[in-house]
Amino acid sequence: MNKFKKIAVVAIAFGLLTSAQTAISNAAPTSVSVVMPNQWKDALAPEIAKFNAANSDVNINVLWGAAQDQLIAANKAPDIINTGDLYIVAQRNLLLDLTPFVKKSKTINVKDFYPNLYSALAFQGKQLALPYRFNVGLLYYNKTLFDAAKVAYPAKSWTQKNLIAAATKLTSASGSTATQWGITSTFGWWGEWLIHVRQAGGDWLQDGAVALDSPAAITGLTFFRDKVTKYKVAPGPKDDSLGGFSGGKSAMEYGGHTGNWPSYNSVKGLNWDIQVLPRGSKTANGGELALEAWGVNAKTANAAAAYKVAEYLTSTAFLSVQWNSLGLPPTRISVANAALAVPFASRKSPQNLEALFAGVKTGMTLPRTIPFIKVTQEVVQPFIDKMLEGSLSPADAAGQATAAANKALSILQ
Amino acid sequence: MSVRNRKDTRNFFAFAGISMIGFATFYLYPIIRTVYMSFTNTSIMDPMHDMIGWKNFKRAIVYDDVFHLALRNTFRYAIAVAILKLLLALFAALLLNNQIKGIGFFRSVFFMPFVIPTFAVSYVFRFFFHPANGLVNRIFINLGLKPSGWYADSRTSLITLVVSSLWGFGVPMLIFLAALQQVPRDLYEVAELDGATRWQKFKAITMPAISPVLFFNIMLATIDSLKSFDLAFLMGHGEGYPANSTLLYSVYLFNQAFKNPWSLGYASALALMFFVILLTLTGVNFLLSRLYVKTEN
Repeated sequence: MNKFKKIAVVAIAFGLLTSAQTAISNAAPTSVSVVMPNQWKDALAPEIAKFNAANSDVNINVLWGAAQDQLIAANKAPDIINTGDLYIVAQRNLLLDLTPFVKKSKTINVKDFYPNLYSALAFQGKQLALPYRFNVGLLYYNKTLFDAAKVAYPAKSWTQKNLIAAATKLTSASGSTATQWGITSTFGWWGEWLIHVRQAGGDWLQDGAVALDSPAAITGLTFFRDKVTKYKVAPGPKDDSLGGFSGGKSAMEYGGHTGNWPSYNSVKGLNWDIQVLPRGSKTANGGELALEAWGVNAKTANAAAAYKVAEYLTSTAFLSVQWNSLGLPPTRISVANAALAVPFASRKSPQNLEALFAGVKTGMTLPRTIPFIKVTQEVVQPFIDKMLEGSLSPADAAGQATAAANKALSILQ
Repeated sequence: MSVRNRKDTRNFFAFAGISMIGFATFYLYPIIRTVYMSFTNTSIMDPMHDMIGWKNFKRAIVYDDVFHLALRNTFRYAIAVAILKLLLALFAALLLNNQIKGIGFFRSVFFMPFVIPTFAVSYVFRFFFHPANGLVNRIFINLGLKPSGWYADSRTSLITLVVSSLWGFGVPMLIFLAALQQVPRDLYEVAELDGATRWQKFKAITMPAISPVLFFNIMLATIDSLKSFDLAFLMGHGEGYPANSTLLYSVYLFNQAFKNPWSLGYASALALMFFVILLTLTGVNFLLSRLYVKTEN
């Protein structure tokens, strides 16, 4: 065989191989990667497998237990990005604008999402993600401790006065050592004090500036401190918190987190339920409303396939499975209605799901166009810590926190 | 190039090549990348970034009050830990250098804390220093002293962190002990004949003899305590709790890079500044060593 023939044979073989590979890859479904926690695997893997079997064009490749942040940092971001209302601004260049896909879709049924949860994921006119779970501030209570003290369970008509009255009855001590707390305290995080600020008519941000030094906000902070120092129904930073709400020695928790439900349900003998937050000095609104969502990587190789997966992961069918098997509060009204249709007595803890879904309407999202988490944790929280220690009054803490936070924002923006 | 030289070059790369590749991949490239990123507004979550000149450095040095606090905390912590740890290590080494029975056992006991994972240590110390029912406060109460808030009070939390960090004095202690055992016995015998006291023997014989090792331990302790991370991160809930009182440089740096808004550019600038600080302090240590290190000559 001369040289020319050899080259021709090699070229033909190469051509055939390339065509075969193209044909194979055309026939193979597009793989769409997504990171999910390991503890969801048992519940969700069968659903994902069903989707993959039913869809010949798309295959969901779940990276169970992988660290999404590390993958993004390594320039290996998955096609579907787990995000949330507080993250989309920082991630806006990482996330694909889903608006055209949503407009084209005949299956998404946007109206089925709670409107405030859906719109919280839009930024500058772009829908950057679809919501799949939410957290809202609620009043958690330990039924066993209420029964033992013969105190009526919290009602949705409760005010802070009722809360303190019940908490006083439910607090007990042996000498100077607390043996039971009426309410828990949240230290080192805004999860509780911001609710009190908002329920007193104040807010973190007003008219673009930090407003924690407003009279209303100071009223809220004062209530947060008084719970510990004046009414003595909640632990201070130096007290034994007796294991918090899951320790079974705290009658109530103000705010809490729906993400803690699995751990509460895993505590043997912890008989608990939820109620809407008691009305503050100004309003009942103000429970923190936060959500997690699925967005699409802007650099994904196949945006249509990735969107299809994002839509599936936020579909009624999938959210129902998430709710029923993992207890993730659903963002679709239809799934919420199905949950509410279950008779009260047949529900597992928490039973009062009416309170959960009422919270979607009364809850308030956090400021997301500013680096809220950074400024709150690094700059504001230290003054709140000092207020609880007793080294700053609520007014001084609020004033100093506001000045420091406004300075930090002016540098960061 | 002669055949011999070529062979030498080949052998050099054959033996040193793998470690050179490792050095370039895991040290040189990250260092160069860090320098580059420190002049950008890179965020882990944002694929786009711009060159912003010296802005990150200016922000840290001029405006960032939390960074200034972290820097102050770090220096206070590092000075206290380095001095106390070295004193403890030297004291323990002097004790173990005596002819006592079961010295191997005591060496292991002192060294053992070093091999315990930091998260376990943090839990143990949280138990010891629990303000409401911790062991230390119980002892305080029994002695008629006022109990403290320890790690739960911003006025005492850094002290608690310092005390909790002292458990790891095993390594400098072993280094001191090795040096002490090299000191010729006859020097002490001569001094005893001259009627020298213990302190005189320590000052005139022991310290000069172990001064090179003391210098080495000071260097290690300074660098180690300045870049402390794990215990401060665990005991301060990763946020310098309470009230940023346990916020150390490395924890602050970590938070800038790996927490919302994932400012890797700013964190790189902080890392570079940290490197300059460590380099300067090492230089100062070298200069100061001339005052106390006695060489054999």
